[in-house]
Amino acid sequence: MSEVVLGTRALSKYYGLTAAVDGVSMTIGRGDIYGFVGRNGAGKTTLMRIVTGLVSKSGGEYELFGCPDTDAAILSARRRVGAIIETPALYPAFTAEQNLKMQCMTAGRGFSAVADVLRAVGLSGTGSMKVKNFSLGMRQRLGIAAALITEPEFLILDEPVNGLDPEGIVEVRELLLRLNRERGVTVLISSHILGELSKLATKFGFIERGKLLKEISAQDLEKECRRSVVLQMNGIARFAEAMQKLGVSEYRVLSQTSAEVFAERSISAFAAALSEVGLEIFRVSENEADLEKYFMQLIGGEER
Amino acid sequence: MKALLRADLYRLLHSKFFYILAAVALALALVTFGLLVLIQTLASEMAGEALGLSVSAFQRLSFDGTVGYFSVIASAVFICGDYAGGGIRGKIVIGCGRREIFYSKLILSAAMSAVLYLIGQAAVFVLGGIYFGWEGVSAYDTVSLFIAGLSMSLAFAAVFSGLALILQKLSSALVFGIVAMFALSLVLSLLSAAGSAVDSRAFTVFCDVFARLTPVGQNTALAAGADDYWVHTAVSLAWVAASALLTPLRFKKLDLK
Repeated sequence: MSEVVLGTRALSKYYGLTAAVDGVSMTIGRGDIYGFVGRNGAGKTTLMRIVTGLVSKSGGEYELFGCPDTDAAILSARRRVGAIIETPALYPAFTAEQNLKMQCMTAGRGFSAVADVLRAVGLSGTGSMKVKNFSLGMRQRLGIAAALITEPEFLILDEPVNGLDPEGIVEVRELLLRLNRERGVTVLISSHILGELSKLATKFGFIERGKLLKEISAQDLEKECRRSVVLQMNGIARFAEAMQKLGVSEYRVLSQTSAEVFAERSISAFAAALSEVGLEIFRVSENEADLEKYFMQLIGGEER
Repeated sequence: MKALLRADLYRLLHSKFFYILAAVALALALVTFGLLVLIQTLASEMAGEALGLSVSAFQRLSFDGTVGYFSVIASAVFICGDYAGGGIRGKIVIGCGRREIFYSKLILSAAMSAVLYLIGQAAVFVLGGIYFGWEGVSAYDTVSLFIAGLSMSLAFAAVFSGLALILQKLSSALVFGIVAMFALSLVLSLLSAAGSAVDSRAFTVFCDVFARLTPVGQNTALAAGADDYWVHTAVSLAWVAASALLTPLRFKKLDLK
């Protein structure tokens, strides 16, 4: 197994009697892009705050780069992290360049990477423009730049594409993918745009009411979400034989009159093959579960 | 710590508020000097003789309480401004220790208070020295009073930077600091008024001790002519030490938004 960058065990945070994070155990390996999925108030941001040291935990434990949270060396481990939690940490009265210089100084680094990082997030032309005059999207890009300037090994990004236009969203996605592939940067990312997360993440964690419902790899999720066809027929006898003739190996029988087939064939091909074995199709429906549907199924519909 | 200091200093030097405060401090010192000159001139014209004001009198009058209010404003704007922009959050996230974050803020808040105090004292010594002269001025008293005042400024900075760090919000830090200073001044005035009415040695001792316990009281006592400079200095430095020790204990447990 790859090195664990972040591991939590029964991590909890209570505000009074309310559990914001309730016994979460999650594992993020080196090189993972971990999509953190949950509704507003589900506990995503609180967990990120605990891990980044902004909020104290109520129970459980976590390890960052193998360093337990109770160890004094956790501060050194955090030096390998870059993060945006909710809103980017920026000084409105300063320019983009001054903000990045401040970040470099805080981290005890030189300014050599400032120009490159500004270029990478598309803010190299902002010159003397102060951050207070930036659009929401520009601030978000600068926040990402500030998180990247220290060349972190682990990025924690809470809703990083908030306020970005579609082009900006694609740019951020490509930037994160490039960092992940070229530099092996591990990413923990939450976003309400689940379609965007599904294009990026290699692993998902689903959280609801402070509890981690499920952790699943992107591959496994794809298998669970893959496209299928549900056939309603007049029976199920000899269905397997028909599928064999069609060259379909992946299917499952749902009832005495229905089956789900995981293969791309034309309706007429299905009809012909089933007809040969004496079965007749009454209804055909396509079934394609995406991340959003999967999440909604996982949390039990839209009911709160 | 060095990196944090460097970043905080960069932010301070690139912020307008400190320069505005310094300009206001200078303007107030000039106004005080102008008023003293006016009083001296009017007195000599009306009474036919000079009041005999000196640098010492000007120095005592410079303890008008403004350093305390300047410290409240400087600490609140500098520290709470860092909260508002997310700067403190950003520092913690990348592994800066909370204790170091506070010490960096404390050092720079103290430096700001000291500079604002020095601006007032520079007016006293330069303008006062030129206009009123140094005749009959005790070098020991002048230097001791200067050091007591400087220590008091550091105490103000230590207390209010601790409060600002814990309260987090600019409005809360400003209101709390100003109300606390005002309330203490009021209590001291009431005690002083009561002291002249109550004929009790114990009560007088209590009032004297109480006045020296806080920077606000020290300011009033020094302006009124107290000459136990080293007691004032020691108490002020105790406030700095108390803030340096106690604030990190509270800040360590604080959940940040």
